[in-house]
Amino acid sequence: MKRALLSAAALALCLVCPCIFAQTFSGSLKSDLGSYFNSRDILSFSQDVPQEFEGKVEGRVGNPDAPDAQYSATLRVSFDPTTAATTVSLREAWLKVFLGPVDLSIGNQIVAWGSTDIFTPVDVVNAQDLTLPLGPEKIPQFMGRAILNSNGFSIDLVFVPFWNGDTLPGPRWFGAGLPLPPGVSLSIVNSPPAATWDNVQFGGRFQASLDWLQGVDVGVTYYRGFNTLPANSFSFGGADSQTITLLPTGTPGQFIAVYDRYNLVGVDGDVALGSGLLLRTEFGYKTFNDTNFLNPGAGLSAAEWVAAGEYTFLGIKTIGEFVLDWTKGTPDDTYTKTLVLIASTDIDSRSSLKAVGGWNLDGSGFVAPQFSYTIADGLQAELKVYFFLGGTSTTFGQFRDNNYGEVSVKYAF
Amino acid sequence: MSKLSVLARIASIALFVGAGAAAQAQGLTGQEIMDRYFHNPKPKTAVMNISMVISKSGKTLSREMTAWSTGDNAKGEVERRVIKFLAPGDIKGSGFLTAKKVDGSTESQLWLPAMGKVRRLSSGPSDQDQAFFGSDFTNRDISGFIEADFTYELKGFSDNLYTVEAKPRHTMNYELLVYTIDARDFLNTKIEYYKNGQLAKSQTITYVSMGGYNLPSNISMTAASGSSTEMKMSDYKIDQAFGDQIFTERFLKQ
Repeated sequence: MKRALLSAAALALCLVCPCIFAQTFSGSLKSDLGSYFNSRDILSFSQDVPQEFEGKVEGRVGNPDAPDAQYSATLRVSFDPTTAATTVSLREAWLKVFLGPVDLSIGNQIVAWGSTDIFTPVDVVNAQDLTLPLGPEKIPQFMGRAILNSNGFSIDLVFVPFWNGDTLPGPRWFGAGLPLPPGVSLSIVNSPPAATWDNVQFGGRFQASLDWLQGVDVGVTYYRGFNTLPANSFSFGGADSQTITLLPTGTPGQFIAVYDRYNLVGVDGDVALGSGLLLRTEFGYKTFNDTNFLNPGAGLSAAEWVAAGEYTFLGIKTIGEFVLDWTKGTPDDTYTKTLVLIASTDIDSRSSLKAVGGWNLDGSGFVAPQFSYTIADGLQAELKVYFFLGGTSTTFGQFRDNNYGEVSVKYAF
Repeated sequence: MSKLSVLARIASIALFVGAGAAAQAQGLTGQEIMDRYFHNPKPKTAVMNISMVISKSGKTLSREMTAWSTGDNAKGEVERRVIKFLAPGDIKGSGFLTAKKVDGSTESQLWLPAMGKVRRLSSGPSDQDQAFFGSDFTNRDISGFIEADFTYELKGFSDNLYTVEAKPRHTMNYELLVYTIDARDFLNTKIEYYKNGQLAKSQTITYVSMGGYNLPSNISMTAASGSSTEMKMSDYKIDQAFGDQIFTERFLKQ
C-alpha cells in the first residue's frame, strides 16, 4: 500500500508538471502470439501470452543539456486473451534531481549493475518477472538512489524499503524439483519479508573507468537484501544462486516460500583489447543469515563466477560465457558449470538474426533462435523459438516439454 | 573579337590554370594534402541535429539525432562525440559516446535504454566496423578518421581535385580508401572505400560555411549492395562553452 501511494505520488507529480516543464510522451503497443509445444508433439500448443500497451511520460527541468531534474513514468496495460483479464501496472516512475555531481532519485526504478550480459551475479537489486524464465524482465522496484559522479568513477547507493519477489512462472517450469502426487497441483503460501526497518535492503557500487589498454571498467558491489526467488528448481544451471527451499505444510502440494536474507559482495569488470576482443567478468559471493531456524538453507553460502569474451567475426557478433556456480552444502558442496553462446548479426538495415545457446556440462542445453524485422520506423516484428535439449533429469532437459515459440509485433512511438 | 580568338583566350586561361594547378599538385605530396585537410579549422565545440535516412529498394527508415562534439586530433586533442537518438520510438533514448585518441585508438560506449547499462565496445575492427544503428555508416565512420590512421599517396589531380589513396596503418574492414580533396579549400568531398579490390561503398560530403568554419551539411553513403544512407546536419551551434560533463556516461543516460 505504501509503495502504491509513493509511486502514485511520483506519477502525479510527473503528470501535473507538463505546464511547467518540457515534456515528451512516448509509448509502445505490443501484440504477441506465443505457445508452448513439446518435443514429441509440436502441435500441442498451449498458453497464449498477453497483449501489452505501454505509455511513457518523461521530461526535464531546466537546461536540456544539463537539467536540474528529470522524471519518467510508464504505465503498462496488459490484456490476457485467454482469460480476458486486464492488468494495469505502474512500471518505472521516478523523479531524479541533479545536485552538482550527485544524482538523487526516488520512485520505481530499475538498476543494472555488473559487466556481463546473461548471467549477472551482482545485478541483484530488482526482482524479475520469470513468466518466461528464458526471457526474464526486471520488475521496477521502489527505492531511493544516490549516485556520485566524478571524473572517471561513480558511487551508486540504493536504499530499498520494501521487498519485491520474482513473478513465478507456471507450474510447468518447476521441473522435477518438486515431487507431487498425481492430480495434485503446486500451491505456494508466500511468506515475504515484512516491511520493517530491519528488513530494509540497501547496497552500493563503486565503478571506475580507466584509460588502460583500449579502456577498462571495474566495479565493486555490496548489497544486503533478501532472495527474490522462492525455489531453485527452475534456476537454470544456478543462474541465480538461491538457497531457499520450499517448506511443505502438510497439505499435499502446498509449500511455504521463505526468503533468506543475504549479504552479497561482488567484483566485475571489462577490458577492451586492441585486437577487437572484449573481455568481461563478474563474481558474486553470497552469505545467508536467515533467522528462521526452520529453514534448512540457513547459514549456507553460494558464489557465481562468470567469464565472458566478445568478438565479431565475419560480421557475426559472438559472446561466449562460462559460468561456474558453487553452493556450500551438507555434506558436499555443489558445483554447476554452464556455457552460453550468443551469436547475432544484422542481415541488413531492417533484419537481424540472433541465436542464443546454453549448455550445461550435465549434457543438457537450450537453443533460442530469434529473427527480427523492422517493417517501418518504430514498427518491428520478431520471431523467437526456444528449444530444450537433454534427458528428463538434466538441468535443461527437464523442460523439454516447454519448448516455446512466439511471434510479436511492436510499435514504438 | 573573333570566335577563334575567344577560344584561344579561353584555352590559354585553361592552360594557365591547369599549369598552375598541376604545379600545385606536383608541389604537394599525398601526406601534405591530407595534412592540410586534417588541419582545416574546426570549432572547439559543436552541437547539431542530424536527420538520417536509410534507403534500400525504394523503402526508407529514418533516425533523428542530436550530436555534440569537441576536440581536434590535429591539435593533439582527443576528439569526443556524443550522439543521442530522438526518433523513431524503437531506438529513442539510445546513445553513442566515442573518444578518438591521438594514437588512433577509439573508445566507444553504447547506451541502450532497454538494457539499462552502458556497454563498452571494443576498439578493434570487430566492433568499430559494425553498422551504426542499421545504417551504411560504421561506428568507425561516425567516430571519424584521424591523420595517423593511414599512409597517403597522391594519385592524381584534375578539375582542382586531388585524388589521394589512403592505406590503413592498422586493421580495419577496408584495405584502401580513396579521398577526393578540393584543392581550393582542402576539404574532402568524396571517399571511396575498397574491400577485396572492389568498391564497397562511397561517401560524398557537402559543406556549409559558418563562423569561419566549413561544416558538413550533407553526408551521403552509398553501398555497392544497393543501400544508401543520407545524413543531413542542421541547427549547428558552434563554439559554445559546455563542460566535459557532456561526454560522460552520466549524460549519455540522461
